Amino acid sequence: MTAVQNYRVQSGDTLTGIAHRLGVSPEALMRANHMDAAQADGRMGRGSHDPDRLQVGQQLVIPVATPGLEREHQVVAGETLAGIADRWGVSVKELLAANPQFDASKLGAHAGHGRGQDPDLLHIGDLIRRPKPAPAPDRTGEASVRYGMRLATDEATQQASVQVAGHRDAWLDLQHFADPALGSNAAAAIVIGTAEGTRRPDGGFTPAYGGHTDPGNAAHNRGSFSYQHTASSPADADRRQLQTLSNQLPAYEAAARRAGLDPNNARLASAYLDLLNQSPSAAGRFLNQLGTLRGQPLDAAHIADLRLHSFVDASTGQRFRLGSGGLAGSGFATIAQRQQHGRTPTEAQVQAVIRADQLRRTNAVESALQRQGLLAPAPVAPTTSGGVPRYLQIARGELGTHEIRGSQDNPRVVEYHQATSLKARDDETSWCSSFVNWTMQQAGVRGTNSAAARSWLNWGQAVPKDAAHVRPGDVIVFPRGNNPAQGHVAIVSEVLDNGLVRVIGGNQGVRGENYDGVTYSDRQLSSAVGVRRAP
Amino acid sequence: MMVRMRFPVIALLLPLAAQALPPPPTQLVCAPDGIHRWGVSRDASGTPSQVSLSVAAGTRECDFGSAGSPTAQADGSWRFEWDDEILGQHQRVDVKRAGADGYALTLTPADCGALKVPASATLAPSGKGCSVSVDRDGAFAQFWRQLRDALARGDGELLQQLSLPQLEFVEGPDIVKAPSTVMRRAARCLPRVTATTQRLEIRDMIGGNQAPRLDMPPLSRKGDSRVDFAGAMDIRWTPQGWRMAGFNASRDVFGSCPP
Repeated sequence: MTAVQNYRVQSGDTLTGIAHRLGVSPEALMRANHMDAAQADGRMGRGSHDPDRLQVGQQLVIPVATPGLEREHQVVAGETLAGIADRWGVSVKELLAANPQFDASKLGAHAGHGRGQDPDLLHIGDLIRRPKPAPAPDRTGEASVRYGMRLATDEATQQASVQVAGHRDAWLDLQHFADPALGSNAAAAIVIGTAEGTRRPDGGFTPAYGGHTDPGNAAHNRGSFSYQHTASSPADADRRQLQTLSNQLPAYEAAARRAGLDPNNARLASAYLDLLNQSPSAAGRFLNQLGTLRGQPLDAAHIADLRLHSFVDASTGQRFRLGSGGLAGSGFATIAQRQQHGRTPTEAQVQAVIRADQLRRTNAVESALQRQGLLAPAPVAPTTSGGVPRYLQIARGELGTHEIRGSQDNPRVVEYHQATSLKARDDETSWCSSFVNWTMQQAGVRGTNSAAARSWLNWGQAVPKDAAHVRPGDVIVFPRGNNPAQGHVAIVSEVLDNGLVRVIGGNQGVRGENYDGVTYSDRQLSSAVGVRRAP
Repeated sequence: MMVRMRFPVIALLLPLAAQALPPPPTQLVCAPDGIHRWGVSRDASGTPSQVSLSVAAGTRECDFGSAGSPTAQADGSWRFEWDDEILGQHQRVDVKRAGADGYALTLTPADCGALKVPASATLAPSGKGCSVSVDRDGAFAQFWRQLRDALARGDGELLQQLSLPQLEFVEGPDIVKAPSTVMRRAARCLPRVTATTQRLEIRDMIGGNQAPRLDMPPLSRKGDSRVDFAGAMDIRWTPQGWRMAGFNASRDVFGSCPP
């Protein structure tokens, strides 16, 4: 559940037990109730902030669910069942079993035979129940002998503070992985060939490897990559295509580093190269959007999702339109039409085929990487802290959250409201101050508890309104129109030159859309009515 | 929301730059077989300004568009030659006139990624699966070049010409308007305008030499008549071509931008 609630302590309760039962982390529970985690030692101390001093009947504030620990989850825009399953560490099958509202036979763009909801078509606000936990699989022995394992130490991760300590990452020597001289023995040929249907995860060959007619354009395909150009043998075809793929590795490495990701990550590199073989332009879009993976687990679900959004524009839900007027993924439209027995498919049906194909390919890549000993547990992509206040980091994590058009309300925005005394239940009520209060609350900083933007003018310490004094993390209040009672509050994210500040705030306008959201926006510093710093 | 006029009304009466912007190009597109899609973009004189091709084969696909202007050949044909960054290959396309209003294309190499494509094709408006229309992608490339030039020269008048008469700005929850005269001072501040949810500024795209691709983030088509640059800038289609329509910044950001 996502709403803030209270809980009355009962006999036999422990803080960790309550936290586990309600799907929040013990740390978040302690923070929300002003307890001192340093005093949590299992012994009842004298201090009123000792988490071990729980009293029967005591009221505890239960904060919002901690991602990954919640018992239920309300679907938000862009989520997939596979992504939710992955976050909870369960299989899609287990998730479907715990959620009988879905018809499992419809999974993967199939028509299905039941009347239940299509698991590929989640709706915003759908409630997904978490299955009971299963024993964690033993992941030992996955280390690659051939490629070795190492702690992530590339430039990008050295600059960043890795949030999950001690996580080991699967590491590929990219040049060796896609070395043209290795031809069909290159691991990239095996991995991509498995997705292409020409190879087996163990490195074996399917009949298609030797040569087959492409059902799409009737050209002759050869080798692991279904190569259509002149080659003396399937192995020669592999050498030639590996040369093309490896030529693009510098661009991939640069894009990954820019996004703060490890380019040598086996899943990431394989996904890019497989997509490059499937659709070079989609691979280009994949690179341009790598930043969206930052801070996310680099697992199959997130990678498949980005692959999907290399064909479908995440901001519009429409397929990318090419320069000559065609649409990305036009071959999938033909497949969807075949599945619809010749009827023109809807856009949703075409996209379901793309999604299913990207999931299938991602899983095939995953199985080959695993079989080749190139996988480790999914690491969390690093995020930089850069010394900024925690509430600013939390605010950045909310970028993109926005109101829902029409009568529905985004539960996340309603959550923001619970951080003020107004406790509004809709996303139409102005929520800039609720958002700032919420980020403060999440970071354990006392806010104003008021939904009024100008309430922040009395918070913390005043800061002079000039670039020499203002710094990231300061709270900034702007006027709104000519009404002295109204205003807009946000957090300074960056101090720019020319007297400008880049702020991050909630309830900020998004041009061209009928909603306000959590966004960055540039303002003139001199137009602010006040800048305040946390007490 | 009441719009406050912060700029002299006289500025609205000033004549626009004498030099008229060129009209948008047109394109001839042919999709003869459901697998291939060819395009030739050309200016009013019929001189090609870009060639493009896409091919689909099952779940695989490939496409390219030429970069840069063609070189006129002695025999009256044109040669497009460029290093395709996406495909990682050097590509050449020779274009000859075919009939009154058609073109014959020859590709070297006849490759697109791992997929084979025909080495030649002839496109004509009357051909199977062919059509002629205004080339909004070509017009966008034209607009982008003009915007780069205007910013490089600090040419406020050209920036104003490339804008709608009224522009939208974001001030907290409010979307407010300002006349396009605000663009006269915008040259130094416009490149720094930020995307709404990414660490990206307009200058990150303007700065490069590559032609913008409407099929690739951070640009995003919103229907037929709108292009969004990751929320930082909104560009609208008009009969005269693409024009800036709004920014993710307050009016003050441009209004008080140093010259």
